[in-house]
Amino acid sequence: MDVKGYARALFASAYLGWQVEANWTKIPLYLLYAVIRPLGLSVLLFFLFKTVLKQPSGAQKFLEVYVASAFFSIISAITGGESWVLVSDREEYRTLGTISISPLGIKKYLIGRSIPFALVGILSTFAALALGYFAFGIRLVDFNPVHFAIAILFGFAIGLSLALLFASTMLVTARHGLFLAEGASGILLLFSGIVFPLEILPNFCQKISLVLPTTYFIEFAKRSFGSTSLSPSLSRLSNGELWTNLIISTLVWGLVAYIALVGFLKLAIKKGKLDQSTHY
Amino acid sequence: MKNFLKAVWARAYIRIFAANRELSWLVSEIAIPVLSISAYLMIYRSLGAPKDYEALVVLGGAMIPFWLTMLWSMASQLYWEKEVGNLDLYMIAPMSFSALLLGMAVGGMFMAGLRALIILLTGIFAFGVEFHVLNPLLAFLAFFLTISAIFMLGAALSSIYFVLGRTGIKLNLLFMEPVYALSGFFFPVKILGKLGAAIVSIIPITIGLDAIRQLVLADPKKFGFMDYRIELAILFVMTLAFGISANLLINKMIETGKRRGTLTLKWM
Repeated sequence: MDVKGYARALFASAYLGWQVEANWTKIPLYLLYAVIRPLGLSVLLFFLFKTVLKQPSGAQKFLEVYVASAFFSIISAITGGESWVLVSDREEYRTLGTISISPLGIKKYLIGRSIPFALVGILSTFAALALGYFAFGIRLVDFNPVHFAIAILFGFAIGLSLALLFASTMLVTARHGLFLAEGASGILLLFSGIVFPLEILPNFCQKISLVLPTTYFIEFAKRSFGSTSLSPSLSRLSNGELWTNLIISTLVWGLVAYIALVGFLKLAIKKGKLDQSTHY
Repeated sequence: MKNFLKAVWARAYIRIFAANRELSWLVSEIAIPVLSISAYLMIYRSLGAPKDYEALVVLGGAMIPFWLTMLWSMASQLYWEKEVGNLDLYMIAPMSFSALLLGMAVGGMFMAGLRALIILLTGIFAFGVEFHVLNPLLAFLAFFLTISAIFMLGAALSSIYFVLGRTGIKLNLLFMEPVYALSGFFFPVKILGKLGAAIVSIIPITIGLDAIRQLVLADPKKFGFMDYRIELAILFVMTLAFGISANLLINKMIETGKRRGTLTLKWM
């Protein structure tokens, strides 16, 4: 395996990604824009809780949900961004076909393009936690920096897997497939125990939750801040069990994403969809 | 006039028929939004909120397709048309640009309306939410004025986005999550306080949703930020103001674009 060549390819596509995403304005303004966007979820959750609880800041339930949603920014930044890459390269810049026949190839290209989104997502996580501290009075105890760093890495790996999975389905769907990735954040919110305990869901939905890597990622991230889950089926997991589930589910979903990407890419080439334009 | 209406229908036709031919929209624009809405609905359930909060979420969720269609199929549409080369064809076609905008709006309303209806029905039958419509005519008026204001806003923004280029696309992304967070799609906007609610009411969907909720939920006073009659009047004024602005802006955009030679300049 040509590691140097692989790294060069990743760097090139990451650099291109940064330019495409950020060079429409000045860098500080872009960073402000990139950080504000994902904060929407944290603010929305605050007002949802305020509607019912009146004083959400002091509630343990809100603390747990808020921290989870802050970490979720990493996942949503990568999944949402990657689908945009596919649509704009295919339909706006018309370069997807060219990339697919270049030595770089679509797979390495998409992985590289996800790096700027991941960095922005990580920045948003910090921003959301800071907003929680200063604006919503959220206080975190027992912070574990090592676990925090590991959680961030897992967030990137899981975000990348899911982003590749959504992007690969978009290879064969029209422009409206964009909403698949945008809306997928909502599905992950529903199934990953981020905004309410898993036990509220019907049984079959709980089973879905327990095979998603995001469920374990969020639980792990929360534990790095000393917060325990309100969901009994997750809080009773020992740290070792949580590690095992997190690693296995991340690997399995990574494999699923890779298989989907290869399969849908073949299908898109066969059906001539790599350069389709779907404007209506 | 006949030519104008034919142009409106021609532009709307694509959105009414062609856009629904590829059935993957059922997944990306119905199944997934419904699941997303379920997440917010479940939050209320987990907090033990009364049942009418769930109806509030379903109503907000049903309005999301209109907001998304305004952003992606109205505001940013002319920019996309330029990028793919359709704008040149529109320019040489014997039709008014206002007819094009109206056609986009009519087609967009149908497209979004279909999605909204399915979300609403799913809310009623799958989640058992209940609405209490005492005056259907008034409720329909509130709904119609809301989407008219939204789509006229989209038509006005389309010229601005055209000039902004890629920045417009980024603005659209900014108008998604933060607008969901502040415009009361999933919570009553009065929770923001009088000043906060007044500020976010410059977004037509905020004020429209507030009026619709007062007219279709059991307790109008519980969620309402201001009297729905005032809100209807504001929506009417917004529709007129955005509609006139759209007409003025598109002519200005075409004139400036022709003079500067930027009408068909891509990737800016």
